Amino acid sequence: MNDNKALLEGFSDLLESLSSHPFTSTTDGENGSTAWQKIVDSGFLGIMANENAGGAGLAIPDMQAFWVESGANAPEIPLGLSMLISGLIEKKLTSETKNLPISIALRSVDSDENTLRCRSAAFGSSAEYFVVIDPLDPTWSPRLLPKNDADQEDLSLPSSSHRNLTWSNPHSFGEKIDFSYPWLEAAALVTACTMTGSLNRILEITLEYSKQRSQFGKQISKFQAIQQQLSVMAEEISAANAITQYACMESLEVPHPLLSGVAKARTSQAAEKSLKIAHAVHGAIGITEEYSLQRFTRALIDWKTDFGSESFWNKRIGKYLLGGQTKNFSEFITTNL
Amino acid sequence: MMTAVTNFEAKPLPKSTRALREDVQTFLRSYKPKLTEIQKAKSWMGFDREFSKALAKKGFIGLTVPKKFGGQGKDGFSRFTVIEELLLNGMPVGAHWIADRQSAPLILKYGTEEQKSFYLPKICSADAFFCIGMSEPNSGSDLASVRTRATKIDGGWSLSGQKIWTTNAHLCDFMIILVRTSGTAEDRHEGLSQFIVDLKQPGIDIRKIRDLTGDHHFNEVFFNEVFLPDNCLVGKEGAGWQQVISELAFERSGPERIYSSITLFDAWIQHSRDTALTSDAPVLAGKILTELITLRAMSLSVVAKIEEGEEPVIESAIVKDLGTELEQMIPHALAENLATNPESVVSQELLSALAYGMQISPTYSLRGGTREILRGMIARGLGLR
Ligand SMILES: Cc1cc2nc3c(=O)[nH]c(=O)nc-3n(C[C@H](O)[C@H](O)[C@H](O)COP(=O)(O)OP(=O)(O)OC[C@H]3O[C@@H](n4cnc5c(N)ncnc54)[C@H](O)[C@@H]3O)c2cc1C
Repeated sequence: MNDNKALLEGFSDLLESLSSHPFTSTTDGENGSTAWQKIVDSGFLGIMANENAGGAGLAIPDMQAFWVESGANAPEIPLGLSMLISGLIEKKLTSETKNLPISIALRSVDSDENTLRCRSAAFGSSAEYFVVIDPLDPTWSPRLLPKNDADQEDLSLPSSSHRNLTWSNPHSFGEKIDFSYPWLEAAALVTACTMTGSLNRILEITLEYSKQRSQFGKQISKFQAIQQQLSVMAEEISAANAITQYACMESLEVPHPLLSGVAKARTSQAAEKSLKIAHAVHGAIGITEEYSLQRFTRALIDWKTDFGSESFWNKRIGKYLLGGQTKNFSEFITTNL
Repeated sequence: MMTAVTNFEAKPLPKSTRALREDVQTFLRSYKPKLTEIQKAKSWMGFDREFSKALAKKGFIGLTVPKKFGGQGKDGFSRFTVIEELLLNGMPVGAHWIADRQSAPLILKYGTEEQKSFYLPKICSADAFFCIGMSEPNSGSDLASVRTRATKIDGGWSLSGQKIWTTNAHLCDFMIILVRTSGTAEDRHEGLSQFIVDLKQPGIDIRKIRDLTGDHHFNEVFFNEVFLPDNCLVGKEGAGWQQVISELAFERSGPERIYSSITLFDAWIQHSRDTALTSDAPVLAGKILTELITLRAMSLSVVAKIEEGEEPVIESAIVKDLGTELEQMIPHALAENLATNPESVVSQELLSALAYGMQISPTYSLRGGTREILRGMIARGLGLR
């Protein structure tokens, strides 16, 4: 852990030094590409890769803090996912694809042999490559595909990072990733951690603002109604920090089959409550493009439904519980935790 | 950059607690009287002297109390494991609950050697049950305004005044009471002290108060010139406020603040499994499970902090506020779910237990400090006040 501490500090410093670059888009726009290039040069993308392949060989329990940092600083880019994917499919990456931002996209049910559709792909605006997985059919082998080969649709809402992507030529369906891995759980867990980072950030921004802004002759932070709301926000964010740490810690080799979804469900719930409070406390200034809050709240809104929403995971976990493997909560604990 | 109070470092239960959990489970299987769902839902409101005695024989009370005072000398994780298992099974643990949770740690922290040797072994053997004398008719959340007073007299103190909402005062042996020993209510945190009161002393009048379900658990307690020998003072005279804050931290940090509705959840799971699964049952089951797993992780993190010698007062407030919200949500959400799906027949036992849960659950966010007070503490932790 001590070695990781130095690594983590280096990572935070790097991201903070880039904070003047608005990561609007990774490769379009000068600022975006410089920021990404600096991340590439730092070598952090390979942090989960094997040590003999030049990585640091970090496992999921070590990664929670890095994913949190990514969300706290760079919500626009698929940094956390790129670190995960680079570690997992290191051998499939060529010198050309190795350093590009990679995200994960979900194969939509209306795909067929000739068209591969992904709706509302996460980081559709900033990723260059996607690992396409099927969230419902684990026998379908994931593919690594370039965004450039797909038809892109930006949902007519540039402020969302989601894109609809369609690969319409079977030849372009790319290379199969042929080992089995719980991709959806992994994407959910990384996203829960990244969300936690953004949540920590919006709490910091909102606390700060509540002390600066005065109305009725005093700081708004002195109003009990505001204090109680901020306490609720802190409670929710505490829950997000706790469950993501716990889920990562219990994910030794692969993402924990139940806790990854629990983390995503709980963090998504925390996000909805918290971002409403953050905006409420800010008043009108919070929804302006210029003010930093919206960078994080917009991302949180996208992530809430990426890789399984709150109810998606709750339903899965609930089905497991009602399915009868464990008789009651006590047995659930002893069997699973 | 992380706001310190929101950091709950993950600490799983050490593997070494597994054997202990199995011991508790084995004991419960052999001893367990057949409890109804309503009895289970009462859990730490239920008072069963014999059951507490049986637990004590097994060494399941006073787990963290040093061996020389009759305890087990184990760590907080062991205690967590035992009380978690008791709560999950809805056992009637109310008799020894307060003594085990807060009176023993308080005496251990502030008591004299004489007090430790006298009270702690009795607590560990379930021969001394304690209640909490904090609230008064005009001092609820504003606890520092208590007016009950102990006046110095020869060889001791004379106690007069009134406490209220005192859970199980009518069944307990001792009360740890917060009173004024100098100054007036305006002096606030100054001049308060804590005493151990033997409830068999003359001059004490205990009157029952029934709750909305018809149960009698809490009481009004009147003191009329009750004599307290000098050796009943706990800690320092005038330091009662600091001590009571520390006692409240013990009171708020345990898993009983997340599990009050757990047996209802289990009974509902059983029902939903036995009958055709309603389409909305899995989402609800998952939602509750997600909350429980998260709160349990948070609660374990608080235990770890206490083990490391910290005083996680704000963290405990966070867990209690989130925990009681879940405890209150569960009976309503389950009853709502069953009533949404009239195609399956629900046992009267489950329905009655859910009704009991809905009626009693407003107390969950009152006892041990109200929601608004906890949120005020958290706001202070956030640097807002
Ligand atoms: C089941 C049960 C068992 C109990 N057992 C015991 C016991 O064994 N021993 C004991 O000493 N006490 C016991 N209590 C009492 C409990 O500690 C008090 O109910 C609690 O402290 C609140 O006090 P109160 O009821 O007087 O409410 P009040 O303090 O009058 O509060 C009423 C409302 O005002 C709000 N309020 C008060 N002050 C503020 C503020 N500054 N800012 C914002 N809102 C505020 C409260 O949050 C609440 O919503 C028990 C209570 C219950 C329900």
